[in-house]
Amino acid sequence: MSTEPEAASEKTPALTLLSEEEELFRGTVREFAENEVGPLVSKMDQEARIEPALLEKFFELGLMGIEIPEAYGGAGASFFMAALAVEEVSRVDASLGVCVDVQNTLVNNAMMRWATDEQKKRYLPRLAENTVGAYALSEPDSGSDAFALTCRAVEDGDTYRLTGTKLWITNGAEAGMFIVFATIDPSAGYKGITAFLVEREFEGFTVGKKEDKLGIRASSTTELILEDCVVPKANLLGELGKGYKIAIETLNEGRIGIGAQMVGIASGALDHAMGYTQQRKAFGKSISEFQGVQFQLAQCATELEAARLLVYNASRLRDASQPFLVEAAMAKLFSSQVAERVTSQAVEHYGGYGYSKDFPVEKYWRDAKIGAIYEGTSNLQLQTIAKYLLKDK
Amino acid sequence: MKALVLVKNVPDANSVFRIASDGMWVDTSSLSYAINDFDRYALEELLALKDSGKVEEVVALTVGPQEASSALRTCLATGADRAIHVKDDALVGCDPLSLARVIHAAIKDEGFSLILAGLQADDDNHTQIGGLLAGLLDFPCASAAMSLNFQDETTLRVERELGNNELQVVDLTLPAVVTVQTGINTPRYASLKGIMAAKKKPVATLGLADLGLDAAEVGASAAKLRTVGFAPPSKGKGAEILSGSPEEIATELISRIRENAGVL
Repeated sequence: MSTEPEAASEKTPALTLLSEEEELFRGTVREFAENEVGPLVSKMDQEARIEPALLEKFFELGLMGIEIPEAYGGAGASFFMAALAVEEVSRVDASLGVCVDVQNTLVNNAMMRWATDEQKKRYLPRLAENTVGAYALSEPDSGSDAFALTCRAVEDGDTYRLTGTKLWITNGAEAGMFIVFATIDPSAGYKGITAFLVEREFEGFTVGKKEDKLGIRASSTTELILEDCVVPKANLLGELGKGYKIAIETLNEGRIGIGAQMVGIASGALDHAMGYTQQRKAFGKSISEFQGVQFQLAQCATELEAARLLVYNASRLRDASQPFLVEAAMAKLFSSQVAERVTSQAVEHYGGYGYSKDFPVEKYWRDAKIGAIYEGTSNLQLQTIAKYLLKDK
Repeated sequence: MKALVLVKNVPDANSVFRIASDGMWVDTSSLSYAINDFDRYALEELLALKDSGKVEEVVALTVGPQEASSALRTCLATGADRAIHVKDDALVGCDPLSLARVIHAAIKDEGFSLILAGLQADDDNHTQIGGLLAGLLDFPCASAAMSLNFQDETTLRVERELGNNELQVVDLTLPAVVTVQTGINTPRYASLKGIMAAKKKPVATLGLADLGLDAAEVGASAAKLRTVGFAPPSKGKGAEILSGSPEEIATELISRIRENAGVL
């Protein structure tokens, strides 16, 4: 047998150096997204719905159960792999990107951390194989102020009866399983908040109105209506009155996922801009030969790289079981800003064509806007970062 | 039944192609690599045979430098059971006959009943390895397969694509070698589970010494086919860019297709 070359340096590798598996996975997801998702993006955006066959393929590829252990039918891969998947899918379509994101970084993540073994046995194989999940925290009058939620849970024998309305629920139209936050005692404030595992078929549960949105139009955002919805006590996630902890801590990973989605959006828009500016001629040459355009492309590429490093570092910290709360907030805040700037620039590089739905970049611009809003607004991220900066001062 | 697929890591079609300074090949520094497209169809054919229970084990083999192992990883992640990587610096510049001898030495004791390869490699386009290897093994060989079907335990029926798209149907008595065309199936994507499982699958790395071969027999110095020149494609003649409004261009294009090509 020939001798292998000496192992590469023992030093900590660069954030963007991928392992063999990560590289192969990224390549596969990219190829799948470009070949299978790409041709359907415009149609799905116009019809405001995800092609169901694509979701089936996502399950087959293992994109919906990335971190779920093999014993429960998942791939047993890292959180970083989940971020890579969200980035690569979002590079082609951010609507499918957020579907993969919510499944992995919120629903599966919360289940793996807080569910009992019995609950894991019941739900993780389904989430890995065929069931889309959703995370139901927001209400009509409670978004950033999540602990002001009013959805009520009342004990009734072996069950809880849930009554209230949830709003802005991503994956609502496709999901078969929902993590629903409700309060067992409105007078107890955040200490009343409790998480429940609710199946779509449960009595008293209805998916309500679907929002008609500016961007990520194919991704469903719906209202959920709970009218005396009967939830077995076996479906209580975590402890009674400890739901606030689940709600808040799960969103830390969620923010990295949104950061990855924004990096994917910026990366897709920049790729289009790179292609178009080299092909479009003005004044007898490609517009990419003008220094003004070159500098804009260079600025976009630099900001994109910085955003990607924030997302990758937060992901790697999470995989290393290190604190990552501030890094996750920074990653989401900055990458959503970068996505807005890079997509806006791409629209300008396309000129009039960029403003037309016949060309791909206006969709990237519309899709980017949500990054500053969901899973904690930019102001909330700033608050988290500032609190950390000043904590011992 | 054990089956083998021969794969090659080739420059990706999206790479930047420049002629190397020695004028004998492309500048490899600006290339990115991927598994040869033809080989993906060969692999898929075997994986489908494995799914249907006709093949028990699928092995992937490549001859190439360290980087070529990524083609094997792709095969393992997609469903191959194990891999053989033949690499040896002395093989740089070897000719197709020597390459077939090397592969023969690596697999002759494995007892493969079916060996598949892509019809050709996207880079050097020699289309020789399948046929030469069959000769060395004394196996029958069918090239340019469009479909493969088992007639019984030892007979494989192959539809071959001929020059004018006619199909020739041949029966091969196993063991046999078949080289496959692109487009004969839909190659599957590697699943994440497959990718994670791939690192646990065995990859045997063999050098010339392990195969009992001498560089003087199969290395560059032994080559009886040598590259002596390399040129970019000559500029096409007769290309014409039509001008006018889209409607005018379309009208002109249709009339030319009618008149010149007789298609419409």
